[in-house]
Amino acid sequence: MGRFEGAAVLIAGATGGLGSGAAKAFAVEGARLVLSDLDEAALADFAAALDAETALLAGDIADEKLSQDLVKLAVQKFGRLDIAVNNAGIVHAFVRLPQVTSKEARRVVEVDLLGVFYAMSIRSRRWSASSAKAARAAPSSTSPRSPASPARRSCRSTPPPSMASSG
Amino acid sequence: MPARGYASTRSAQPIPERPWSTASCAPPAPEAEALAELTRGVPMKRVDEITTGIPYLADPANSFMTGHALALDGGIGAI
Repeated sequence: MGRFEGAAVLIAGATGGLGSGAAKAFAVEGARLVLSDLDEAALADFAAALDAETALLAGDIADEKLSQDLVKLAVQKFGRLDIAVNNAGIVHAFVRLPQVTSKEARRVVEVDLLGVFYAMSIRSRRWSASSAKAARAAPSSTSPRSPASPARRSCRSTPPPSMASSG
Repeated sequence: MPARGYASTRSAQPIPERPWSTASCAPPAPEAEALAELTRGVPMKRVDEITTGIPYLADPANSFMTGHALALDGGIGAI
């Protein structure tokens, strides 16, 4: 029995180094996965090799709608969303500052900063609403959490510039 | 974003081009060469166990820890 048995875990940037490592780690511990990345074919290939229930949606995390659709997909497919890993991220070319174009800088901010903002904002709204329901159903805050109801967590993995790659 | 400080170590020197640079038109470096570049300046001389921090942060048994920046850097931050 894994730590994440039955939990629905959303991973953005799922086919990159950190994302794929996280997906495998959660899969081994019994999680069901909602996976996203830019390349639809790569995402499908990666998911096919995982020993876990998966729901897939390719898209650009800098587009607010992707995060909305990912939460909808989690609820539709698994009836819940317990954990999210905001792993989708890019780095600008590792060059001197004047060589970084404004377009590239803007893209980095849209993906690394706004992408996380959209994702967390959308999920927070959903989690606040469902927590209110859960609180009414189980008013004791000291109730131990069952393995099937892990704490709702959202983590952001930010690779140092020297180790990052897209996704 | 975690607060991050820089020391004037070899790995903090400006470097014009790296094998994994996305803007570079040069063909990608062989994996061994890229890995050597990646681990340059990492005391443990490897890039490893980085994803283990993700399920750790999400672990239901670890629910009281929130908003924490966790360094998984093979000792970079310790020198």
